[in-house]
Amino acid sequence: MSREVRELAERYGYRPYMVSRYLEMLRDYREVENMLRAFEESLNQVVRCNTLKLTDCRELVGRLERLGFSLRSIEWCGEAYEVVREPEKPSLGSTHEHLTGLYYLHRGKASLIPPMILRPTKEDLVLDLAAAPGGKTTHMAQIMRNEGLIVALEPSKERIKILRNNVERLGIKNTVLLRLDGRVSSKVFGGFFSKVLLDAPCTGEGIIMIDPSRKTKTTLEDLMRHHEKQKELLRSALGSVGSGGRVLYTTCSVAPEENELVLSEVLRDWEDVKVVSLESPVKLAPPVTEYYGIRVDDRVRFCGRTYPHTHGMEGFFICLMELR
Amino acid sequence: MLDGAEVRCRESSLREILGELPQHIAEYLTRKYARATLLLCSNKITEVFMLSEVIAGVVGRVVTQGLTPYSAGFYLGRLRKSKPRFIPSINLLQEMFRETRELINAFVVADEGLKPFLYGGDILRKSVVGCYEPVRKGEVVAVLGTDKIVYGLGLSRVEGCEELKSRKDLEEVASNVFDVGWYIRGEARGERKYKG
Repeated sequence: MSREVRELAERYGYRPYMVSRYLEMLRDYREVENMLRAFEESLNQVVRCNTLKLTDCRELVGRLERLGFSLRSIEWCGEAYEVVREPEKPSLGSTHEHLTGLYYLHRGKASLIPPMILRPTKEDLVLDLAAAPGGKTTHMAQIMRNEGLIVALEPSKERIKILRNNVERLGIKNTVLLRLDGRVSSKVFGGFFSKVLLDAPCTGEGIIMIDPSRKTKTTLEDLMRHHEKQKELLRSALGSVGSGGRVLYTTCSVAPEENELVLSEVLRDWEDVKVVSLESPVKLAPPVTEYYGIRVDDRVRFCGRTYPHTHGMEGFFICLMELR
Repeated sequence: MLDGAEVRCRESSLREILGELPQHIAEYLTRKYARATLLLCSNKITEVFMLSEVIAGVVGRVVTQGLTPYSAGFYLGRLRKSKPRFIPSINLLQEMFRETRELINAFVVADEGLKPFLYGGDILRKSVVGCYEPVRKGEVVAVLGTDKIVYGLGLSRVEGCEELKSRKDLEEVASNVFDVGWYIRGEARGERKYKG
């Protein structure tokens, strides 16, 4: 490990192996430092107006402004707003508007993108493989205008309660919630679904600005455990759609081990899967194509990323696949 | 969802539960959803969900594999063995009030009364700025804000709006059964003890 990597890790408080990987990933010392610096900046929270309960989001904006919040429209997501100023009280999580489901509170903008790319319609049979706390489930329900079907899986007893509370709070009627590990969905459902969203549980290496403990929390062993589980989840996701079905894989991590390498290893056994060019509301950065001498599957080049230092949002990875 | 003992779910129809519902809710559901498929999931209490055709198909598939949905479709409320026999969901009440454009079996509560209510507090007489019949002692009453949004449910301590008027300012007129603050407080939704 080079001295410059060790210095950077020490200056920003990271485990050195993480910074070493970032350098391998971005191939540019200055860009790595820009990313680490961006992780030190706080993110504006995002309010997604619930169009299932409100016909005019200006009503929500007016109500929140009267409470002392300042909102800024997000140009690529009509119903979402960045919160640029907050009063001392109330907090965004305790307003009457939040409690009555007039909005969903996102920690940053990037999590709005995956449902907008998957673009489910009311004709779709949708599976959300790791659904809690429900930001993307409820966003998809909103896009589907509360029609059609979303089966949302969550294995954790505590987290599925939070999921149900959010689904009910937002007035959603088109979901079936199951306490089930996503890794068995293909056994339970076969190729029943037309669209699957897999927001895979990850190390959170893209949301360090929200949770700085992630600078030191994850060991290399933890990272590899996530990698293995993500592969199992992705296999299950691909086994849950029929011919022509689409699977969107996303994580809130910048780690190639949780993204490109997962795709690359799984797709090796799925010749009949193509990776679809992303029609994204924001221009995404290209994926990593080579990492520590490993060339990733050529199909992965169509996936995309967001970075905190170039997009001003959480670091996300997004990939859309289609079963032939 | 129902925690603890094993939960069993089965399909049903509106006709099967109509006798358990308050008249105005039974009338509304009959008018709007007469032929809907319901899902009843029970252990100590029974949760009632309304299913669209596509959701009913998936639920059938899930149940045959020995799995139990945690929730499905439109949550209508829960049935109890004793009074109050039915506790409607916030979403059912909100939809009913919006579509019928009529408030019924409800208290409208001023902001200063809503704040404690949203932390699990009860409703005092002085907070109630509107009362809509029928209001029955020991039965559930919808709690709305002045913005006409449903914030929760109370158990009425008064028999009718006339009795409400006769109560003193600081007297409790409805105890908290459910409020939207629960969604964030994350309390368990088991059976609650009712004092009335």
